[in-house]
Amino acid sequence: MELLNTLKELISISIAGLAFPGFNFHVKPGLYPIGNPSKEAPILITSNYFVTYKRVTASLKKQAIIAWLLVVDTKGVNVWCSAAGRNFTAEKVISQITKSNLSKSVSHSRLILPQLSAAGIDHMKLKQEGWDAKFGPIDINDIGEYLSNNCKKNPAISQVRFPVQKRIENTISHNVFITLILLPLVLLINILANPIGFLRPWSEWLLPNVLFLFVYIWVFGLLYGITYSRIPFRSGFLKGLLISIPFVPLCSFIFFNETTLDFILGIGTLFLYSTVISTDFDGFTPIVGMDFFEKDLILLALSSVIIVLIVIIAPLIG
Amino acid sequence: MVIHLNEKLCVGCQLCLEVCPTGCFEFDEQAKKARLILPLSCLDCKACELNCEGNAIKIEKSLFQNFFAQLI
Repeated sequence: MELLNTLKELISISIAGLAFPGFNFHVKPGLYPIGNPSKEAPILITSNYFVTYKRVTASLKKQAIIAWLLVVDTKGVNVWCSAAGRNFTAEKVISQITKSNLSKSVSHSRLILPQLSAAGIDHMKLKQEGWDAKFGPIDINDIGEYLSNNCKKNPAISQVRFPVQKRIENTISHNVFITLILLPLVLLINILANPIGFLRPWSEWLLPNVLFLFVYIWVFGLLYGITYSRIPFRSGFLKGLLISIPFVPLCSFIFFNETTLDFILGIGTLFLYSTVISTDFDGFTPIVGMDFFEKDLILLALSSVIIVLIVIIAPLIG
Repeated sequence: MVIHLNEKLCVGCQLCLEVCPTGCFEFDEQAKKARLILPLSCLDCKACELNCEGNAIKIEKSLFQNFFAQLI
């Protein structure tokens, strides 16, 4: 059963970027006892995303915390995304409190919300209903420290972090997403660029273009994800551009070395792939907002136009 | 995106410090009010704006203001 759950967790993380509605990664909303909680035990609140629930309960057990865990129906979406998407709101928390008869299980009115739910939850609305809501730490692994410190936070537990383990997880999720977007696109371009399409031997186009792209996405994506926090700049586009400066010419030299034109076209195409991957990864990090992402997309669009023009003009010049 | 803190409206509840995931605010102990110290770190999550008890925080969408300052 544990193995099955771990497998489900891995699949869930891998396809998280696809937001495919057919997959059931919901946990039944409700009130769950952690340990054997008394009426005075703290009330913790979380989303009903399967991975969140699994990690929260595992962490609470590891920290030997006895509490009530109120799981709110956030449509199976994680805390931050559901709060930002207005699926984790004060109204939803109040509704779940009522449905779960919370006041019958506890003798106090103190709620501890995950800090990142503050993007969707107005604590004043909970106060109006008689609940004293506090925003706890960002990471559930810090809840023990938070509780033992009289529900006081220090900057270390209230600021978002993006450690290497999370970066690798998010890179895998992003790579699955970007593979399913870019591969069919490049396949289509190859077919449209050659009117006889599939009549050409597959070894002439499938291997050098489509399979190469597949390998490139995973190698560059992992390299980028692992080194992400060490690359200067906040912009994903600029980070991708910087890491591409040594990486892309080297790849082009190894794989597209038949003529100078091949080499130049290889550089242009690989710069485009790299910056698309790095810019899109913005959305898979917890440290980039939508406004920031839009700015990055403008840079990507401008550079893509320049690269596409070079790729079209270079063969004409010779 | 530009974040504004109207210190006159701040009631000193420190909710902005509690909810901000990137440490944009600090608390001025003398004035008993919040101060915006890292506006460029703002992620546009709007948690502070939603929870500010004095309605002192406003986040405005502005694509071209601070364009490069934010990206670098």
